[in-house]
Amino acid sequence: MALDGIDLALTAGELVSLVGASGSGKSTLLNLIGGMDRPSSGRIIVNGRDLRGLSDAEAARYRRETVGFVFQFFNLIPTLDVLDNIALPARLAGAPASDARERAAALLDRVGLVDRRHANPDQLSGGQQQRVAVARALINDAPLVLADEPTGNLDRQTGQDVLDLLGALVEERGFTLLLATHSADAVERSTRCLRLRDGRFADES
Amino acid sequence: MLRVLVQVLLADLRARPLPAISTIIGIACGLALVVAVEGAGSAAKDRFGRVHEQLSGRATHQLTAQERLTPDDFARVMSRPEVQAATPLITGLLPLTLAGRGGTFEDIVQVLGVDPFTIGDFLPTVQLTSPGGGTGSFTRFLVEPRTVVLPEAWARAQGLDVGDSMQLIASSRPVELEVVHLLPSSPVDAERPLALVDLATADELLGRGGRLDRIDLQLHEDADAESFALPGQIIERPRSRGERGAKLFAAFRINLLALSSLALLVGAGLAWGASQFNVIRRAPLLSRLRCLGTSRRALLQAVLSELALMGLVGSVIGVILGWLLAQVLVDHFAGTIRMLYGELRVSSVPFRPGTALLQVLGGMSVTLLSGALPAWEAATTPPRLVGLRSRAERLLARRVPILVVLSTVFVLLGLVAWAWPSRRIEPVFAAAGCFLAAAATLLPALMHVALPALRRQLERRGFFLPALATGTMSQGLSRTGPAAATLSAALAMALALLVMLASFKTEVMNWLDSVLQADVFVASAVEDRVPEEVIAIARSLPGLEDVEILRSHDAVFRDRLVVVFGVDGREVTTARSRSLEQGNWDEAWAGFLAGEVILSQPFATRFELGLGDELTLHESHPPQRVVGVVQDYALDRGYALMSAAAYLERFGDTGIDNLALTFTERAPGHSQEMATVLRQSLAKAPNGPFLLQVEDRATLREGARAAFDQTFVITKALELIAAGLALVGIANTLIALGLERRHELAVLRAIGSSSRQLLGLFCLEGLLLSTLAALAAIPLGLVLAALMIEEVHPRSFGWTFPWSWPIVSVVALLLAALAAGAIAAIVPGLRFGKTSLAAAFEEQS
Repeated sequence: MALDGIDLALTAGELVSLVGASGSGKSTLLNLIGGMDRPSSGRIIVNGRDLRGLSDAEAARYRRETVGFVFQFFNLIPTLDVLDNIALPARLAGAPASDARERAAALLDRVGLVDRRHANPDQLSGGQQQRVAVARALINDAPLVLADEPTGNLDRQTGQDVLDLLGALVEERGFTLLLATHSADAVERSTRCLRLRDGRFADES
Repeated sequence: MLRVLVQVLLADLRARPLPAISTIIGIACGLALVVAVEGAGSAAKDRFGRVHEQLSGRATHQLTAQERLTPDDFARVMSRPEVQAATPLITGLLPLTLAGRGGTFEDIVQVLGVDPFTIGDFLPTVQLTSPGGGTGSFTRFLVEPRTVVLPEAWARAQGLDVGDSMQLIASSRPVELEVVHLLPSSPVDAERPLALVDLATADELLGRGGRLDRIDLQLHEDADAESFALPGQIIERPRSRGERGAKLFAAFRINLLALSSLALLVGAGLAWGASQFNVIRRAPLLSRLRCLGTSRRALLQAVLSELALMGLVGSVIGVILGWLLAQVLVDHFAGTIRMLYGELRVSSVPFRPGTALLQVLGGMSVTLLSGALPAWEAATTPPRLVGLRSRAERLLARRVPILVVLSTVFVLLGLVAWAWPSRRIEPVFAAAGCFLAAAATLLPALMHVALPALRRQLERRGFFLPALATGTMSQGLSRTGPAAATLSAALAMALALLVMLASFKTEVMNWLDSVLQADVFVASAVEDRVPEEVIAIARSLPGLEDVEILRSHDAVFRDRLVVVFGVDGREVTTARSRSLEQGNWDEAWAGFLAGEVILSQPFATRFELGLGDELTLHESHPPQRVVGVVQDYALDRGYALMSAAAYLERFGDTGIDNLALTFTERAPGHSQEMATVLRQSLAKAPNGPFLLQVEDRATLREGARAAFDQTFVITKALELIAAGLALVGIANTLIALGLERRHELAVLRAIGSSSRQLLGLFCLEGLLLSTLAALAAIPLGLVLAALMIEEVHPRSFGWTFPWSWPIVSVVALLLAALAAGAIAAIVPGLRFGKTSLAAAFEEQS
């Protein structure tokens, strides 16, 4: 069993870091909260909604509207340019192309990459790609953003820049950020730190 | 080491057998079609040849003549010292009724009139001294007229025994023969039950007027065979007679073989796609093996061994399936040949182990060839996986100029083959192969240029899903290019066949309408003549406007037997004029009346004759000038048409082959009614019943239409299978592409794409792939259609026909291909819509 006896409540505007050794269950917990996996038992309630009972289409809608993801390996779509990568979740949610692009452009401006809007992902540095991924996670104004080791594939300075950006955006936009990390810098910036050991919360600080 | 590696790969294959199954299906289906068509075609051809050969027994040569042979000819050849043995023969078909059974028509028998004293040298079971066993008295056969010898099995099946009588209908009158001897087996392998009679009886039954149909000879090896033939006579080896018959449908067979080879090519494409798929799926495994110290060479050997094993399984299944399919197909083949060229009965296709072994080896070679490039890709998998895919795509991008050059070379080679100065059909197929190869190499290059441009346009206009699909197609060109090329080849062939068949059918039906001007047609049902008295019966029909008589006779022209028609009416001749290919009708008609000749197009093509040329169809008469060449699809060996007066003057043969009756009343259904009236009159005639075919215009036309469709049933079925295999290839390619970008697809789902949207994305990709294939198939298909219409038909059959444009059918075909492309994407779309996201991301880290 990857997770056992987990009881977690998150409030709006929190930046919660999730730490633990590899295999402790950090990613599994993010996947469960993000609606990408289903628990074998227990309940996950986000905004009063039990994720266990969601159909495939409802789970997709939940992922589209309620959560935003930031991955360790950025996971941008290589065949789309930067602007369309950010606009993608909005388009999937049914937003018109012009509206989605307008919102994407505003976010691109916010993450400091407005001059790279028509670049392809492989033309960007790792840090730039992760900024684009952050912007993509925010395009639908999701109240919850899940970040799985967002600095794990970046050098320390770039990682700190990304963490600074995430922190600032939490303050600006008031979403909740749950951050799985090994980084002490990330823990320092968080309002709460949860430690996982063998699938259970060890303590909370 | 190789054994361990193969074991590892096979264990992996057992866990995920889809690529192996695809490879095996592709090779098995493709090979099965080739084996089936080849097997059925060979069996029909062998049978066709054998029937002619066996009727000639041990003859080294056969002497025939346009006016038949006389007993003097036999005496002449017998006096030559080079002759070891000779026997005269009379052959023909006659209807059979069994005495005491109400005189009902039972069957048609082949009457073989023989000289009992000399036939034993040629048919060993019919010996004067020892007639090879059997029951009854062979001596009575020697001395008594109107006696018959029958094969025992057939006679027993008819309830006939020695002493019984059998009735044959000769010249519309029953003739009774007494069965005096039963042979233990049929002396020859004929298509019809054989009845052996003496020459005098055969002459009486078949009305030969004391002439012989043939003299079979056994000549010394150094004999000058040609010196045996007087003017108007032909001497040839029996084998060449059989081969000439077999050649008649060689083109038909080659066409089908070419099409089944296309199915094998598409099957190979499927195997190639499956191999690619395997390489992608196994990349981590291959990389680990490389990390563990496996050399490229060892890995290549292991992958090729595995491929050979799959090829072996697929080929064995293909050969067995093909052999089974051939048993079904051979009947259809024989049916088509019966329709086109005459009697043929083939019941089964023998299993030949040697041929089967060669076919298995061929199938394995095709599998190895189709999987060679993916195998090389597998062997060169680096120990570190990052960038593997992009490396392959970069490699392809660098090869684009080479592909363009290759394509140009193929086009040039195709043009050279097309223009090759030969009347043979092989250069045409070589040209078709070159054009297919040119398209297969050019299409990926065009996609390399066009897809990114299309993607940019789609992005600019905000069509993000189509842009995404286009990007995927563009970035996976090493997979999508060949898949599109394979489908394009299958579609182009289908399109070419559609255009060719529509053009051919339109022209044949127009031609039929023009030649079937009369209302009712009468011909013998047993390859015999129409009795004279039928004319009188026809003339008594109410409302009859005209009776036209068509006579035909064999003639020798440039040492080949040709058919000459003599026509006595303007209507039939005028009807043929409507398809005048060369010449002016008024001049042609004037020349025709003056005794000149009109040729059918196959005749003119066969002997390279044209307007104004002269030909001698009878040695003792002056040559005739060609005053017109008409299109004709009835006889692919062609015919010469002359007026009844010119015909009778030359051949003196007053026998009637066909009657065409025209009535004053032209109301619909009237000709059908009159055909029925004529049949009734003939049945009641004092000398009846006559074994005649009486058909009205509409029935003949419908019969021809049905025969046409029947001829091309196999063609259409083969095409359908090839297209089906190509679509499986599309599905495979999409699965392979999906596997390659499973993380990307997982991201799409993670950021909110529903399974339905993902399915839509796959369908768009399938649609795009089939659209590209369809676009490329249009020019390629037209080129292939041009080859079929302008080259294959004139070279194979000697006729040409104008183009027709079945626009609706072509559009329907292309739309069906587009829809099928989208449908082929459903399986991969559903599959990737259901994969676990968590597992996909876990695999990434």
